[in-house]
Amino acid sequence: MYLYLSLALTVCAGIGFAYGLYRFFQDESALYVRMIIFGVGCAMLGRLFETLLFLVNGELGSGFNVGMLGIIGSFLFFFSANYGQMDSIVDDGSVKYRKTRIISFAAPLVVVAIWCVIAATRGIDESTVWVGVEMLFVALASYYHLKHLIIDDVSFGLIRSIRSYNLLSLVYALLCMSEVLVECFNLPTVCIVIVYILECIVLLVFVPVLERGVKKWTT
Amino acid sequence: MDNLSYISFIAITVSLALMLPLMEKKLRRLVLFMISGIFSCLFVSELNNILLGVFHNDIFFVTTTVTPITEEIVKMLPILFVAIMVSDERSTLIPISYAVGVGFALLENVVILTQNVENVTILWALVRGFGSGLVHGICTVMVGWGISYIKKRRKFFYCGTFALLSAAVIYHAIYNLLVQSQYQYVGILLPTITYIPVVLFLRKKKIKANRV
Repeated sequence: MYLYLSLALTVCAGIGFAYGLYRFFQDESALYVRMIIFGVGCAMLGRLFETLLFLVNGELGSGFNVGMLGIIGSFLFFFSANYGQMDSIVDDGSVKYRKTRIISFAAPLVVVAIWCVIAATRGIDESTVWVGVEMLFVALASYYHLKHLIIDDVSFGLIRSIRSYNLLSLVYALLCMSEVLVECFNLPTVCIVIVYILECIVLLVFVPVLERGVKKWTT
Repeated sequence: MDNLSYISFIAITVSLALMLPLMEKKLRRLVLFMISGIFSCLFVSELNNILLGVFHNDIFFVTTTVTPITEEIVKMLPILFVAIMVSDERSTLIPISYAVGVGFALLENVVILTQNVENVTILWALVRGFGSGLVHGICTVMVGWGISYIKKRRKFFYCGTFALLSAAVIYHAIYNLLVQSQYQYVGILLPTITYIPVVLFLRKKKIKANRV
């Protein structure tokens, strides 16, 4: 079961990545967009590794596996894109955005809270620590996703046009954490299937949603 | 008998190093970074031996989880050096990255050849050349190509470099995993399947740029 779900995720991420390469790497396009496409590619590689490891070994094993770097890498790319490129444009560091900055901490706090729940249920072992490391990067990225979702728009509707992308990224972050939660609480198989199907949909529509937003920058 | 890795390292690098004074700047740089790739391989082989002991000689775990990380980190160092100190131009970084990867694969292949000299065949050579040789090249090019984008802004650089490294490590781990499984033929084909579209894409871009 897990094998097929993981394979479906790999295929969906692969389609998203291939579409991104086709649409944005033919000609010059914003580095912001390219970083996000790299992120989807990284997610695909991570899922591919997990699928193959499951196929070869029959299990993922506890603790660290290289597939975790797929989640870490993809959220690092999303974080780099938002922190490195977009944030300096939308937030000039002035007092008027202070409230937004503080509210945005809600996203990483939710991530930390979920990890605490997992740690309290499982206890602190090697696996929990590695999930914590993974979630650290999810938390970093989710701060900027929430911030760019709620921050007042700057001129030309730069941030408004990519709000749906930021919302989708937050959903993806939540789904990645849900995967661990479902496993942690031994929830019924149907929950795992739902989480994976939602992740597949998110990975498929990620780049088209971003593309729709980015198009508005030039029109 | 002395350590075969060191013997191979000396035999290859001395010949290449002696060639350096006779070369033009661009070519010399490439050979120099090929030597640095060879040195990286020597360093990593020692490091991996230590790590193999730490992980109780679990070769499958070490080769699919640990060595991709150590190898990609060490191979990335010369590329980072060039990007920070010399140039972050794509036209400089991509050939240098590939040279580091090829240098690394060269010593790795020679060392494995000397350890299994009675079992190697032409097929083995083809598999090593098209498989691991290409994987090392592709992984370092992936990092070098990405760095040429993210080096432009400091805010991108640190996180972006780590993210690129993650991607290269996973790719390398996928190859190592496949070649040790019953799907080893897929593993051997994986680098070629990746290499051909990348080369075609880069050539297309070059032709387009020349037209403009």
